[in-house]
Amino acid sequence: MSNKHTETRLQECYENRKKNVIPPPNLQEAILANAKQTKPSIWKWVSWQYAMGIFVAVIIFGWNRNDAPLQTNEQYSVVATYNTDHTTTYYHDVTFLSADQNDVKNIKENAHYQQYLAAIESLKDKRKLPGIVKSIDNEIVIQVCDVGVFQLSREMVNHLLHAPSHSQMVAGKAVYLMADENGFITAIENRDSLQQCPS
Amino acid sequence: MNITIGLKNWLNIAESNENLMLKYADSGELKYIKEIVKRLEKDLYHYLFSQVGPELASDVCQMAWEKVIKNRRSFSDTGTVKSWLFKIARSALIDELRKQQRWQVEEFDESNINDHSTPSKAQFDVMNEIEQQQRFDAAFNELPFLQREAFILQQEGFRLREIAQITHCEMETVKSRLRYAKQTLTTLIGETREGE
Repeated sequence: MSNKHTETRLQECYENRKKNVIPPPNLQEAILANAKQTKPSIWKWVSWQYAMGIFVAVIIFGWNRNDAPLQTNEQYSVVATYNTDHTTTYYHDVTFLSADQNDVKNIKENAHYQQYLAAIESLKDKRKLPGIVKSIDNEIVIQVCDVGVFQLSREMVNHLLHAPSHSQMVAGKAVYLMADENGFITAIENRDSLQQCPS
Repeated sequence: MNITIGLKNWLNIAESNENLMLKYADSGELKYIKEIVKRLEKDLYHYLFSQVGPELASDVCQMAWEKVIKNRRSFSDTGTVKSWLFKIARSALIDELRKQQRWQVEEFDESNINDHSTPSKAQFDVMNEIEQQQRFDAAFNELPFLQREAFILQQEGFRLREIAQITHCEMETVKSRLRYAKQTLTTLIGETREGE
């Protein structure tokens, strides 16, 4: 028999064998489930904003009084959610909003806001949140010890860095996030880097 | 340009895996990776299944796709998605076998060829296709890991150079592995090559 015939016969046998090997029915589902969880950073924001529209409950509004270093009357949002690594993440000041007393009332009644307050309550001093500066997807974030990741908007970071007691936001730096009575960040201060997360 | 796209749609010409992957890397849209998975899942699973059986094949398959999804931006259109996927899967497979202390391969084992009973000329004549298939399956399963791998990859349409890249070896080595694999298979299924 010719080489060509042999090659064809081997190919046929291989194809016949392959036909009988069927992937488990849930395999494709499992692969795609993984793909659904993994999205590029831009999509993370788009879908996050989309989700924000759907799940209004995760949006909490806050405002800063005149005594706060932010020196602003605008309210800003704090959104409690998860990042792509499934770490609890609190997005601060994603959008500035106009001051409205009704919103203030809504914030305090919001379950997610209570959850956020409960999270920082676990710290010794909820006005002084110890954390480590990190950079994730080109965003500056602060891993607050035992609470989760705090992502501050660029505007907010810039604002805080212009405050008199600012700290340089360099990855790996130990800092304190200073919060007001409503849990909103008012300043970033230096912290002893030897003590990464106080026990 | 629009005419080309229109014609493609009209003729329903399937978009290449490479274009789909580039679009997926760019947009992260699920529909692109879904189509790639649909096209290549069976080929990859069969390769892994043939090398390590169903259980580990399923796990490694998932690991490989996870890596593809995670590293989608590092895909370069200079190669095919299929060879990239197989390369990733092979590395994951060998890592897993090493973890389980099951990674033990011999490059060539010519003695294998003569260990099996070769059908006589009379047997060839009466051997029907079903019997031949059964002999093929048995011989295929008994091929050494690297020879079976080279054979599978060639049947999956990879060129010698691609097989060499996927398996991290020289093209000459790939040729030898293929020669031994085919020699074993053809002998055991009762086919003979001219001049042999």
